[in-house]
Amino acid sequence: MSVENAPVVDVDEAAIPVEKKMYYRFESNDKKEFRVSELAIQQSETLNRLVEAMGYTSEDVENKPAIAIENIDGKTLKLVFQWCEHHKGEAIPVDDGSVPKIVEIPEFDAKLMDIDNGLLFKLIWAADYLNIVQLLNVSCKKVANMAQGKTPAQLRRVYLLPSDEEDEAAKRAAQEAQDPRAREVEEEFEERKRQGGNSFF
Amino acid sequence: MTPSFPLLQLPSRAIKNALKHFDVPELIIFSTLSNRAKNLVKSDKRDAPIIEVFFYIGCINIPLSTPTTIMFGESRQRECDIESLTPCPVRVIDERTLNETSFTVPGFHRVRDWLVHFMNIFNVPMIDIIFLSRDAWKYSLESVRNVVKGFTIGHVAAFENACEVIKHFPIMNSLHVDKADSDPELQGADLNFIKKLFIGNIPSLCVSRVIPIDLNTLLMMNSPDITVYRTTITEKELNTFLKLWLKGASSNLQSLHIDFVEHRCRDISLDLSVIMKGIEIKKSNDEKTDVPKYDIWKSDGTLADVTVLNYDFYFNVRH
Repeated sequence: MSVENAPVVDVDEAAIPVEKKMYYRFESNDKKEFRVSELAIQQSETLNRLVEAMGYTSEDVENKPAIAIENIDGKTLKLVFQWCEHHKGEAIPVDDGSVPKIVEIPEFDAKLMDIDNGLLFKLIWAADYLNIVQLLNVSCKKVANMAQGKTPAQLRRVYLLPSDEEDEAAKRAAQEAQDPRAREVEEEFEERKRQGGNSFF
Repeated sequence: MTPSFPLLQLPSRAIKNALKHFDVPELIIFSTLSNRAKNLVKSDKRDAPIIEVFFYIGCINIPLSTPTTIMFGESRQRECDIESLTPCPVRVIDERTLNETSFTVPGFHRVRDWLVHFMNIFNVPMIDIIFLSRDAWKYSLESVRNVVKGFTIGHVAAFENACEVIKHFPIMNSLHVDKADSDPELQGADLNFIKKLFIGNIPSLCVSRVIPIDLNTLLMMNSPDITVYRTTITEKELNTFLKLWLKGASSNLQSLHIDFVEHRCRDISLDLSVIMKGIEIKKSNDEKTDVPKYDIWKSDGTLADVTVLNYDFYFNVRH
């Protein structure tokens, strides 16, 4: 197991109240460990509820195993926790339903998301899973910016949008994969019809 | 080459979040790429209150939260054939920045194709049609009628040749009829046609300069919501109108506004004492504007309020 014992970013101790100076330990699915401040965790509704429910003391945090986050790898989780540490203490935005959303990407976030699209994809999945509202907003804004100035053909390529025919084929394939017996029954029925049978049974 | 990003493989919440950041041109282009993309844009709920089609310049106004004008054709000088067989170029103009995005989409040949699409993705069940000066019309009434065939028409505004326009679009929820000052007064069959139209059941009617409304015509109108900008009605006749309403006339009427344009031009204020003479009233002040208004009521309890400003008469039935 590789352990990254240091906090993801430097912590401004003075800015954190004494009772909040607890660092939780999390482990990614590839066994990378992270220490994250309690205040930073509040940016993630999912993790915040989890640690509240666990009710860990400072000793528990040190003595018990790190909290496993099964479906996020270390590279992605590092970005997530860097973001949370940088934005700790900030208010979590409430979706007022307005469109288009007015979201500016701060310089720190822009640098953090200066990554390949594969990692950006994982980052958005992680932000959604961990319910980090503002990280989801800025990362989705970055994805939306990819559409600017594109022709229909370019937009289809950028977002890998399947055509209606491809969607239909994928849907059929998914249905067949889900229930192969149904397909067999259908084929048997068609065969009997061809043979002139009136009744299936 | 721009690297690709599998947008539709994101979680549903993230896809919706990304779409909420799209500007209108990109959103429209995205919506044309597949049925799934179209349904995603539709569920983004950028609902427009109306879609106004200005056929005289081949232009659609969609008042989204980002005010948007959509023009057909490559440029103002090269308008699109309304029933083109080749993909019709569309220009989407952001009215705040005046940025213009132009594109064509395979399969979207005619203006009608686009209208159907916009009504779908912006969740607008009906369209409004605006005809201004005849000289500026780009398309014939027949071709416009073909474009909107089968659509529900919300509002029709005819600023010239009102009779001709309305004969092509006889059913609508709201009508605004006007005429240019230089046009001759309506006479004969046209005058009768317009008067017959006014006594029909159009839910909302706005009469500008097309004909002067007299008391008899007003009393025959069946529209619940009437606005008049040209009238020969006097203050004494307004008083008669109110007394007749109290006795049961104009029972469909819910809201009436008469703008006494000629009084305005000559700076002659309406005389409240003549208008309300002999009518039992209760004075109150409007909660928002603090303007005095006068409650009147029928014997069956129906209540209406009357507001008289310098050159305007307002009448509203209260519920």
